[in-house]
Order: sequence, then structure tokens, then C-alpha cells
Amino acid sequence: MNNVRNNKEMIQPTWFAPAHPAQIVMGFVIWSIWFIAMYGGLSVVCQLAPPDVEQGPLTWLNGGLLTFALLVIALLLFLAWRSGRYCASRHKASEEAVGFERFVGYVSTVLYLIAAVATLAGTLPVLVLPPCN
Amino acid sequence: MSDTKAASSPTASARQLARIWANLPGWGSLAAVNHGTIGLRFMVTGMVFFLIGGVLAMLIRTQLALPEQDIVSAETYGQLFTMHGSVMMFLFAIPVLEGLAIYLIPKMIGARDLVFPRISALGYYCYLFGGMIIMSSLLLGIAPDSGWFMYTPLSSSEFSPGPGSDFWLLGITFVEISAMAAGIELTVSILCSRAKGMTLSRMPLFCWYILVMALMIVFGFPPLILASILLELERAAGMPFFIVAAGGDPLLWQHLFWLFGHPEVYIIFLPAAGIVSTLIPVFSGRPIVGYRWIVIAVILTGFISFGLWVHHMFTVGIPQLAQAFFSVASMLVAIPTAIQVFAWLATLWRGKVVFRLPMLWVSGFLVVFVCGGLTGVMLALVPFNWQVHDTHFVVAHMHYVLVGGMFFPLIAGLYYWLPLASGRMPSPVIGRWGFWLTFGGFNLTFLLMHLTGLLGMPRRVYTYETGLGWDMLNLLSSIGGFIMAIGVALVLLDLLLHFWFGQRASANPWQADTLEWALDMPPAQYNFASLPTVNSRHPLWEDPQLAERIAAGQEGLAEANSGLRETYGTSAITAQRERILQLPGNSWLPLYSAMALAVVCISLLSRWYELALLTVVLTIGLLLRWSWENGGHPSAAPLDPLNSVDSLNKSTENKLPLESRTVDGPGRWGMIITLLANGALYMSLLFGWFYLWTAAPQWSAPDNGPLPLWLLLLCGVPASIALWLFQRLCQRLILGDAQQLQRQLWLSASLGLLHFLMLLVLFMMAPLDYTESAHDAVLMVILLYLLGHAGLATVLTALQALRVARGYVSASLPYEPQVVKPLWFYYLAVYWISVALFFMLPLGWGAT
Repeated sequence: MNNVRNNKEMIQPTWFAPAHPAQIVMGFVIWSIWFIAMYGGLSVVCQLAPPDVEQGPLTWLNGGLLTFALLVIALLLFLAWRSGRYCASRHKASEEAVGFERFVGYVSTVLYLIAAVATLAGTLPVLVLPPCN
Repeated sequence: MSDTKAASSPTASARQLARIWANLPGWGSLAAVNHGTIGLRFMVTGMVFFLIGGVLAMLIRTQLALPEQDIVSAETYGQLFTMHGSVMMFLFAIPVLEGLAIYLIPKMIGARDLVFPRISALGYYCYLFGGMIIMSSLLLGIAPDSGWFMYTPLSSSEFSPGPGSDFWLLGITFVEISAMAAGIELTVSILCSRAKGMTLSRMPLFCWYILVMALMIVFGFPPLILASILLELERAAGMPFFIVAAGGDPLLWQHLFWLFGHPEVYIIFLPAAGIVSTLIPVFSGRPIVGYRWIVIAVILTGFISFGLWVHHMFTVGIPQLAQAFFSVASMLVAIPTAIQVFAWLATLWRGKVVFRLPMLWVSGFLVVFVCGGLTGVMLALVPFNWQVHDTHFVVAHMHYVLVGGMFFPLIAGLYYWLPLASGRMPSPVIGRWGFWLTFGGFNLTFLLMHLTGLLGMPRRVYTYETGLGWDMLNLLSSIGGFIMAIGVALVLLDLLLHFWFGQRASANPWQADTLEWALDMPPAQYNFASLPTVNSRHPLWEDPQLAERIAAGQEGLAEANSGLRETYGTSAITAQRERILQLPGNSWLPLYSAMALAVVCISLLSRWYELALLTVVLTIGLLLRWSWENGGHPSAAPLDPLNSVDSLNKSTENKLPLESRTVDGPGRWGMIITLLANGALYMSLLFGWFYLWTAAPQWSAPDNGPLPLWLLLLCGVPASIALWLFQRLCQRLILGDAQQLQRQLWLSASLGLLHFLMLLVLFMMAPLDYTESAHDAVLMVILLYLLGHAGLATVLTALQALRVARGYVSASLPYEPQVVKPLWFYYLAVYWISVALFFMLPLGWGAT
């Protein structure tokens, strides 16, 4: 009976709660949206209003892309912190009841962190390369 | 522990189960839908195509062995390398791994079958017929010759006027139905029918790999399906999506192809890596090191692999920033691969490794694949990529990754699971000879090919002049190719001979931990005499008596009183039993449907459009007939309420309903996953639209849209009301209220029909010059897409109304409308997005 109750408790959280398995993929869903927005946005802006090539990397477009990426990284780090905190809280509970929740917390935390690193790595070229050349 | 009582007579129950799950005799076996039969058919057919692809490779190596040879002409050589690549990628690698997954997944997750068995059978026949159609072009000497990636404009009608490209486009699209079917079915089966207690954190790693692979198929194949449709429309109907002069762009093909093509590499790699992650712990005698990190790596691979496609296009003139962007992403994908490699090495390091035959192939995989991965990182660097682009270096890298990353683990897996399928052990002597010849021959062929490429030899040239420094390297590569072929022949011979001469295998011969080894060898068609409960990641290691209890009928669902094929439906997250799934038995409908589709394909190839139209109607009729025997239909689920609960649980409170008595289940999940795939196709079309707008050199759009906006807005009103009605009736059904259900469904269908007719009129009156303008051609496609979906939603709603009249849908059978509902939501979302992005937004563009 305990198992049944615990499992019911696991179903309760909404997709946004740190216990929900959707968190496992949420980090890279955010990364994917950033990726599409960055590549798509770059292409569209370069078509409609390309910055002056003479400006090199110091353009409003690169600045915008950097700002956008930093916001995304901040969001991912916040979510990683939230998942990590949840995971740590589950560590204090018994193995039987929360093994799955701990799994979700741990995997989500790492994937949020890697998504943040992947976003940062993908953003670095805007510091040195002109956007539309 | 099991929550059910032992069956009164295990032998009688087993006989009953065997009768229910048996294939029909003789020709009737063509109606088989059981996952074991279908999985084996996939694998055997895949191996036949592998042999054909291998022969083509030998012809290529024979031609290139010496300079200035003319054993085959340039034209034939073009057909050979195109067909070799196409056969190996589309007819061997993906199907054989799908077949392995289809065969193994239910056995690993403790189920009796996949959740949509008829879809498995349809997928197999589509694959078989599609493969035969493609291969027929080779026999007729009209095979495609533009490369397995079919770049435009080389594959367009101007430069490939013959039917070769059509065979590829139509045949591969036909085969892709099979891949999509497997992707959807495997996803839903893994999520919805795992053994009780097998939470996501206890799932075998192989299932994680297959789950991610299946989802990658769902999202990765639609771009190629769309690209193939667009190119075939260009070739057959003159719609100029890839023609610069009419506002198209040939680079759009490359984008769409590699949006599929790069994830495809990982779609092939992940199941193979899943085999490795399964075998290494078994032969190391300990659990894998870093289970959670491997899950992380697999998910990571699934996502990042979609962000690399442009590294195949570094030489086409993309802005530097975009190149750097994709270069970084390409290097990032090495991280999850490295995580897995280190986890495998750590497991080997900390275990007591037994080097049986499968481990030999795993070791070969580790060496070859790591080398291929390293050259992959080299190719991610833009300057190096430019230097070796389209040389034999790339061919060598690709074969190191694909043969090392897929073929070696596949053979390891075949050797590992062979005793399960046949009950016999392979020959270690022939097997070892096969391995060493394959390993040596492979490295001789492709290691040297890196050098040939660095010395500048381009791909796809049918011969070369002597004195360029390539002669000896090519000769040695060809010798290596033939040594490898002998090795592969020995392996196949071993696999074949073991059925007659192999030693009888003992139970669980490798001392493995996963559920499939709890089965008889070979397994019964129904897999498990009773369905197990799982309490750990390694059920057979931690519960050695589990196999005996399963066989004795002491676990769940041991009796089949309904006379139908049954398995448990479980919750996706916690793997609690929630319902009983009654699965369809032998059926001819998949074969008939695939045959009708094959006729559509052939009639399109022969440009006999009247026949194509006729068979499309026939196919739709067959598929609707198929859909009729579902849900609450008496042949799918008995209407007798006494049969709606688990017979073994009648005395307990834990009574499980049939799927059709619930409001959720695999059918609904299947619809949602299908719509995700559909959404990926739509997004690809949207990408094409924006790509042409921003990048096509001569894109032009009229100042005013081709359709009056207010009419489009008006047209959306009845569809929106239909959705609202449908949503409301579904909510009421969930609450048990079926009053005026039929009337509401008819009303909803009528509004859908009104919307469809309005859209049809708009389509007919739209002045689209679709043969002269890429802009108009894209609009034509989107309008046809909307019309098709509006028609489908309307027909399915009308069928629901008819089913209410027959008693298949009611307050006690509320399931089916819940399955149709997501289609309405999807369609409405797509309709309004299309109005906004295809018709409203361009008004702001002005003429460009």
C-alpha cells in the first residue's frame, strides 16, 4: 500500500515542478528553442537589416544575441539550482520511497547545467565574429 | 512480489495462451502481427539488403583497385555508390536495428507484445515493398545516381531526367513509413506497457536508448519526408522549390536532408550503443558504472544531434558566425559520447571480464568507433573540413563511425541474443575467425582511405590517373575490402549453421540480468506465461526465482479468459498497472494496405495518375476499415462488462479496466506522438518557407496575398466551433455524461465539413502560379496540407458519430473521442499559425 501511495504522490506534481520527469528534457528543450531562435533570428536579421560589416563583431545584433544567450543561461542555471536543491532534499528521505524522484532530480540538474554550458559555448563566437559576413 | 494468485493449471494456461497468440499456418503467416515474428522478419530482410549493399561495395572497390580501369562505366559507378549508400542506410542499418528493437523491447519490459501490433506488420510490409521497388531500379539499369543524399540540382529533372531520382524519392518515402511506424510504436510501448515496478529509473539501458532513438525518428524523419515530397512535386508537377530562377533554392534540399541526415547517424548509433551498454555489464559480471550518467548522455545526444546538420554544408557559403555556431555544436556532441565510453571502460575496469564472442565484437567497436569519433571532431573544425571536404577522408570517417558504431555492436548483439531466439549457441571458432577477418579487413580498407583522402582523392570519381600517389593505397583498400567480405561471410555462415549444428543453450547462458532471459529459448509467441513485477534494475540477478514464477503462472495475467491477446497497460512514470490492453491478433489489413500503397508508389513512378488516385482512395478505405475494428468494436474488445477486469483480480479491489473503458491509454499516446511527427513535418515546411524568403536569391512575393484574408479568418470559425464542441463532449464523456453524444458529434463533423468546403473553395479560387513561382508552390502545399487534415478530422469525427450509433462509444466506452481530440487541437493550431505566417505575415514583406 505504501508503494501505491508513494507512486500516487509522484504523479501529483505538474510538469513544471522539480519532481516531474518532464524536467529531464526541459533543459534541452529550452536549449533547442534558444538554438532555433539564435540561428533563425540571425538569418532573418541579416536579411532585413544587416549591421555594417566594418563594425566587425561589435554590432547591435551580436550584442542582442549575447544578451539573449545570457538570459537563457541565467534561466537554465536557476532551474539547475532548483532541481539540485530538490534532489538534495530527496537524499534525506528513505531509498524505498524516493529512488525515482531522486533520479529525476539528479538527471535534471545535470542536464540543466550541461544545457547552460552548451548555450555558453554556442554563444562565444559572437564575441569575435561579425554576424552576417 | 506478485499480487496475483497462481493459475490453477500452468500447462493448461500455456496451451490456451499458445493458441491465442499463434500465427496462422502456411500462407496465413503473412497475416502475422506478433512482435517476435515481425522483428525477425525485419532483421532477416535487413540482412538480405546488407548482402546486396555489400556486393555493390565490392564492385566499387574492384573498380577502384587499380588506376584507369573501366570495369564499370561512370554512369554505372554513379548508380553503384548511390545504391550502396541508400541500401546500407535506409534498407539495412535502420530496419535491422528497428527489427532488433521490435523483437526485444516487449521481452525486456515484461510485456507480451508491442501496443500496436498491426502497425508493426504494416511497417514491415512497407519496408519490404519499398525496398523491392528501389532495388528493381538497379535491375532495370535505371537506378538513381546522384548520391545517397540526392543533392539538387543534380537530382532535379534538368540533370537527372530519367526515373532514377523518382525511384529513390518515392521508394525511400515508402520505406520511411516503416521507420515512422516503428518510432511511434516503440515510444508508446516503452512508455505505456512496462512491467509493474519498472520505473524509468529501473528501465534497462537498452530501453532508454531505444526510447530516445524512437523519438529521434519521430522528429528526425519528417524533414526528409517533406524534402522528398517537394522534390518529387518539382520533378512530376514542375513546382520549383529548388530552382533559383523561380525563387527556389537548391540549398533548401541540403538543409532539409541534413536536418534528417545528421540525427540519422545517431538514430543508427544509439541502439548499437544500447547493445554495448547491455553487454558490457553482463560480461563484466557487475552493474554498469554510471547508469544515470549514461541516461544523461543518451538524452544529450538525442537533442544535440539535431543541432549539427550545417557541418555537412560548411563549404556552401554560410556566414562565418553561423559556421562557428555549428562547429561548436558539432564538438559538443563528443561529450555525451565520451561519457558513455568512459562509463563502459570503468565498468570493464571494475568488473571481471569474460571475453566470450560478443565481447570480441564490443572490443572491436570500442577501438573503431573511438577512432571514427576523433576524426569526427577533426571534421567539426571548419578550416580542416574545407580541406578534406568531398574527399575519401570523409568516406573513411563515415565508415569508421557507421561500421564501428553500428555494425560491430550489431553483430555483438546478434551473437548475444542468438541463443534466446534459436535456443542454440554459435560456433566460437568460426565466430572468432569472422571477427578477426572483418576487423583486419575493415581497418586495412578504411584506415588507409584517410590517407588517400588527405592526398586529395575526391569521392564519387569512378577512376583516377596513375601517378597521383593513390595507386597502392587504393589497391590495399580493395584487398582489405575483400578480406572484410570474407569475414562477414563467415559470420553469416556461422549464424546460419548454428540453427542446425549449434550446441543447445542452457538457460540464461550469459548469466544476464534482464527480463528477456527469463523466457523459454526460443520464446513462446506470448513471451511471458505470466507478467512479472520488477523491483530492481537487474531483476534476474536480484531475484533468481523470477523466471520460475513467471513460467509457473504465479505472476500477473496468467489466464486469458477473454480469448484475446492481452497485456498490461502501465503508467508512463511509475509503471503501475492501470489497464488491460487487448491487442489485435492476426490480420490481413496491414498486408493489403501496404500492397495498396505499393501500387500508389508504382503508379506514381510510371506517371499513371488515374491509377494512383484510385489506389489512394482504396488505401484510405482500407485504413478506415482498419480503424473501425478498434476501441470498443466487438472484435477488438468484448462488450461483456464481466470481461472488463483482470480475471485474476476479481476478488481484490485492484480491478483493472480494459483500455476502451478508460479515457487514456496507448491509443491516445499514439495519436499524440504521431502528431508530434506531423508537427515536425509542418515545422520543416515552415523552415522552408522562411529559408526561401531569407536566402533564395530570386525569391519574390506578390504585394497582395493570393487569398482574401477575411475569407481565411471566416473559414477558421466553423473549425474553431467544431473543436470547442468536440472538446466539450469529451469532457462530458469523462464525467460519464453521454447525452446527445451522437448529435454533438454529427454537429462537430458538419462544422468540420463546412470548414473543409470553404477551404476547398478558397483553394480552387486561389490564383496560384505554382509552376512558375516557388512562393506560390509553397502556398499550394500548405493549402493541400490543411485540406487533408481538415478532411481527416471531419471523417474521423463522423465515424465517431456512427460508432456511437453502433454502441462502440458511450458513457461506459468513452475512450475513442479522447483519441481523436488531439487531432482537432493540432489541426486548429496549425490552421491559425498557417494563416498568420503564410498569409498574414507576407503582407508586411512587400514585394522583394
